[in-house]
Amino acid sequence: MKLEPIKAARQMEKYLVKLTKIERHKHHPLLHTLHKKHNISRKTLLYIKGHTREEHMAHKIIHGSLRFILLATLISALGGLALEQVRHILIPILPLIILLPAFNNMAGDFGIIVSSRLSVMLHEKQVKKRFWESEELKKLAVQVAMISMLTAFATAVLALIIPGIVGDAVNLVTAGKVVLIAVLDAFLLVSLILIISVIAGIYVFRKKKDPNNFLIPITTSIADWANMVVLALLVIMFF
Amino acid sequence: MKIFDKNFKEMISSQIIVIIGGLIAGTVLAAFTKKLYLIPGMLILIPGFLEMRGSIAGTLSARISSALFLKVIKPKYSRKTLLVNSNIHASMFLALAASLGLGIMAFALNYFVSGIFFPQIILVPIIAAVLSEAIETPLTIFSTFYIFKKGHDPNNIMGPVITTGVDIISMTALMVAMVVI
Repeated sequence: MKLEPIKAARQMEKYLVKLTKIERHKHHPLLHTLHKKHNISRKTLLYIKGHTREEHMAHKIIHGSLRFILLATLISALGGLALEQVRHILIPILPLIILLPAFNNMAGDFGIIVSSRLSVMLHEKQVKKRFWESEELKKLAVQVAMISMLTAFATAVLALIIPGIVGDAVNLVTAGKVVLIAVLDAFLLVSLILIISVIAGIYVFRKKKDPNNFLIPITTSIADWANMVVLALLVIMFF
Repeated sequence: MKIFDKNFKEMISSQIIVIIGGLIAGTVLAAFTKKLYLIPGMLILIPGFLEMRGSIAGTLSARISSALFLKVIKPKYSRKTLLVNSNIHASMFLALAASLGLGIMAFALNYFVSGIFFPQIILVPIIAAVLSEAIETPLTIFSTFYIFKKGHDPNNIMGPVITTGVDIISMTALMVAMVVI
């Protein structure tokens, strides 16, 4: 029997309030009922359930994000520990100090790019059982490797120019070493990201889970940490 | 195999923006190298602090964008908009809590790995978080509103913009905190 509009609206409001109070599960039965009965999209309902009780929203955001932000921060701090061990070499070489924030970002960015594009490939079944024969995957690897090394080279050159402008230029040998460290770091990092993403992505996908949810946090955390460790090791090797 | 396709161009363009931001932040850091010698453990703090600020501002922008697309909020700030206020409060709490965690970790690593007892390092990320939060949160919210009002999808634009802006502001805040300590 079709409900009168006011009655239907009241019932919907009652359902929505009830919906915001229940524990968050992706497909709660009430969500389906509301979707069928009132033709509200499931995504909107999921958002309402998560966010409309505004007095609790800050608590929900904190509860949902704090552990991940803390974990990511602490992993990066562990990478920073590697740098701290070589501070006596690192601090006097200004171009390397200038490179630090740019490289810190680059690692995470490539982690996100590789993970999200690989996830799409897995969903679209572009990655075969013998993944090394997949044309799309090869293309992604070549593209990311090229971009990382090109940008690393450009960043290193700019990082060498900046101290030169303020009269603190480094000699030619040091400049060469800085460029080599930047390019090698980018290459090693991207290789590591690709290996981890492919192995973890295929494994997660075979377990019938969405690689997007797992790959990005895993690769960005490892990339952030590994970047600092690789950089510290290269600094020790070259200086 | 066509390497130089649309994806290649998009990836390299976003990287250029990120690199510029990173280099400016690096120049700020380079200006304070002498102070870096004075405070042990600063290099432990820097990557963690930048990561934390990027995560908080990035998720704040993503949540505001979702609310704008779902028409839960209008692209205009009002003190009565509880949803935006809740996001600001959450972002502040997250920044302070994560900074405290980072400070304690830097102190512990300094003490156990390098044998240096320097408890003041706990205060550096907390002061820097207060300073950067005061600038970055309003900047993130108003930039998201502005981009949305201009008819663009903030999700596509805010990523590189936030990374660039956050790096510069956070690094400056960290250096100011270091000088204060």
